[in-house]
Amino acid sequence: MNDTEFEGWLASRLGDGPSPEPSPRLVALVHAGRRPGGALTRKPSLTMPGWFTAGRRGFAGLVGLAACVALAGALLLGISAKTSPNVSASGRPSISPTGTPTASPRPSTSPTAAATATALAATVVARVTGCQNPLGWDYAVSGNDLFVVCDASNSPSSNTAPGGAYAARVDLTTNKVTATYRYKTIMTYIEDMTVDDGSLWFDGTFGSACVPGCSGFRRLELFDVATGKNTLDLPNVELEGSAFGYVWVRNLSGGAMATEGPLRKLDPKTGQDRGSISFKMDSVQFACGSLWGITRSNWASADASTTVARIDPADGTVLAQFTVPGWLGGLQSVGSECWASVEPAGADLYTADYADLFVRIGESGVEYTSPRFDLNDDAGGTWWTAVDVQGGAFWLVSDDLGSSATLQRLDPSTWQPTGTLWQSGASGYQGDPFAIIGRSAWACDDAGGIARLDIPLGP
Amino acid sequence: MNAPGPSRAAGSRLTDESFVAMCDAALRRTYGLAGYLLGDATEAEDATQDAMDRAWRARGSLRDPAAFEGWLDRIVANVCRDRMRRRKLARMVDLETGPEHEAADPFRAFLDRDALGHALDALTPEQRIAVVLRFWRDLPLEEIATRLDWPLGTVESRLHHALAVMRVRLERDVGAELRETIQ
Repeated sequence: MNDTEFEGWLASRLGDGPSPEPSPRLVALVHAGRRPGGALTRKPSLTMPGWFTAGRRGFAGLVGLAACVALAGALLLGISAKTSPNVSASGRPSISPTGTPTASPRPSTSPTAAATATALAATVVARVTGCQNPLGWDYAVSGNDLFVVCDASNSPSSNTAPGGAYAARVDLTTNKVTATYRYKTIMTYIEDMTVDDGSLWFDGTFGSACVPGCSGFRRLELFDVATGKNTLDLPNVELEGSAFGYVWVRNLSGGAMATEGPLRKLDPKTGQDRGSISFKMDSVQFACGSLWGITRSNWASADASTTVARIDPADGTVLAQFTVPGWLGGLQSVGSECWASVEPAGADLYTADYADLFVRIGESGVEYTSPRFDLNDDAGGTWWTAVDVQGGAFWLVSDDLGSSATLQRLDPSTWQPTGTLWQSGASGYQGDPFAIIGRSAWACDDAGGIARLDIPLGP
Repeated sequence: MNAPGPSRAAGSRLTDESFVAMCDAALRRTYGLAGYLLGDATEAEDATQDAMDRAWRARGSLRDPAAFEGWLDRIVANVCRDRMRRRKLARMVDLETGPEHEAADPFRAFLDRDALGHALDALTPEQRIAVVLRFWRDLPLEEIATRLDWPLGTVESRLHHALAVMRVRLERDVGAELRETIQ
């Protein structure tokens, strides 16, 4: 088989692919989305977590999850971490000194330090049973308890399988599930979760689709953590997070699909309405001690940007608003500073694969922009790479989609890998991502449970 | 947001009614592109809705109605690229893997017929976009470059590497059977 034969086969094979008719549901949703004046009609995804909708997303950033992929890969495949040629070839960032550092941490604009990654193994210290097929895209920590989303059906898009989605409480000392929390009927997904004042809140979806005009597709639930009793059920309400003494929600409209209107403040214990503030952004983040509104630019343009507004949680006053070139990830505290990762802006979004960078966000704008990490994966490999902030540290994650995954911590003074590295070296990774909490990573294991790994954070 | 007026897309000759008609006409093609990029009908529906919503909001930026198809393709590719990247990084749960679901999902059923789907899954989003536009949409390289605003050399490079990756993956997965199929 030569190249020409292969291309011919591929053209024939793919060219014969069906072009299915869109379902009536899709047609209806597309039509419902067109509103006079270009009004926003954002809806929660049916198949993906709302990465930019939950208040606690800053803590559950992508690379945090991806980092856990690497960790889980190392764990699940039982490998001893070792340095692979692939790591230096593809996993190490090639830094283009395009940043304009202005303040601490003290990055070099032309970092020359060689990556001196020292392989360190993540150690499995416990396995948690009792939470089936944990879904890693949301969790909450309160006191000595971790609350996680589980799914008895292992089929989140199906509402016919027994069990559905539920929440489990894990004791962080014993690593045991001590309680579970279920709505009275089968919940397809749990989308967002928070714990505040002894109360567990989560919202989720029911069924597989919502056509315009439907109601109750998404519901917000309140449970008493101690008793496990479901004390409040609010249809057509989306959870945004908890902060400043309130649980924050938004109403869903447009067939219970689009989040619109003000941010409502609820009493975290009882769910009583405590007022609302005006909110005109696409999504909410509670991070770095502030309330942020986030809106991405439209996607038809190559000029990707993110509008960030710092908002007074008391009355909704916009205290500062600025635009970040590119797409901003979750905001995250690092010490007393506020950081986020950014995907590139402008034509780079299309012409460069991934040239992510970090920004430090001040009260009224970007205070510092790191050099770019040239994560180009067009060198013939199939590596997925990303940078992000998680657990108060900076991370670079590479994953070649099956045979190897690495996680490296970046030193912000040089933006080079510090020597903390985890790597998996075998294929067949089946785990789901999870979270980094304190000095532990929690990752789904191949048995459908949760593994706790202690992480040597290194220098 | 720079939302255009309700009745006429700012800066273009397209009325909203014309724009809607073009979108409706393109819906099936858009859904198909999303389906082959994502390999999942349900997620393709989400992505299509997302792309159509973004197109509606950005209709004022469409200066030339003749460029509509490429303009919309770019939005779809961008939406799908974002989803692919997040899905891979976050290792989303494979939602439905049973035979019943595969039978109901025309994209998955087609792609999984002979491990083609697994080979496509091994690609980066950009590589997959290039492959689908080239071999499913049957677009010439120059048109792909124009449509995505990629340099022609980038399109060539991504396709070259994508095909190399796919060949390795396919030969590993199906080996002699593939060679017999191709020959």
